[in-house]
Amino acid sequence: MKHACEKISHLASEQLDRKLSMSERFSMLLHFLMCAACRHHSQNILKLHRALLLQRQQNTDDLQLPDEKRKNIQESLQKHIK
Amino acid sequence: MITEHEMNPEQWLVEHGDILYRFAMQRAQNSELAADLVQETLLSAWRSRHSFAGNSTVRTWLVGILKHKWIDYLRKEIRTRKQAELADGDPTAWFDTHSGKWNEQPASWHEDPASLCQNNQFMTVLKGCTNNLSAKQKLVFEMRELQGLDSDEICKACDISPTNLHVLLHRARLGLRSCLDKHWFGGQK
Repeated sequence: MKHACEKISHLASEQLDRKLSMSERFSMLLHFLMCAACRHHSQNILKLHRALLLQRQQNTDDLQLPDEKRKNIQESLQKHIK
Repeated sequence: MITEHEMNPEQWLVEHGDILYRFAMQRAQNSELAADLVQETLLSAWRSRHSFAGNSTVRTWLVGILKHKWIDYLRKEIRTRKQAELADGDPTAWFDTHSGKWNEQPASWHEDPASLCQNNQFMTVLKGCTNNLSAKQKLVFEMRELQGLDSDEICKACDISPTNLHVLLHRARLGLRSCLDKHWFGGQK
């Protein structure tokens, strides 16, 4: 199939952002059986996606609103609401 | 029904302040801006308190408002940039025009996501690679993968179609994967 790798790598990227249809998934998996390059590309962008997800979580997991900022917000709320 | 206690912004700050701040930090990655977003969220929740239907929790409702605030912020930011700066001139030919096959074969990466995300050097190299993308690719990639916005939110913020977004993300990932092949995973073939 002409331009197969281009299409398949596009699907491999889209699968990280939307749910693929059954036939899209099937054509992608079928192509992966025959093409190591597309398989590697897909695995790598998935690794990158997961690594950044983990990083996002780990950067913010135990963050707390700093006391000083909390106080400012509280004062501003009192001013606007009363 | 909603009690007086539940409709008190100072109480919201006590109970949900940290969660909202964490959420805002994921997106804004700047503590001043994040705290401003929390404050605006609470004020705007207070102003629209009568529209709270009570079929979600207060926390979900507040997080929803914060999400909208962030999209509004991004829209304004994007509008102030020059259109030219956001033009997507990416002439990279990743695939052979005749065979449709890869011009350069992607290598296999052997490190797993958990170790990559702990590795500051990797993150620095990734940042360098991100800076090589076109401005528009970089923008949507960062919204998607660094801030964790979903496709709908990004389309709204950037005023682009889902198709357009997926093309930009695809090209961003092609660029990053290739750049990381060269500059990080280079020796691993």
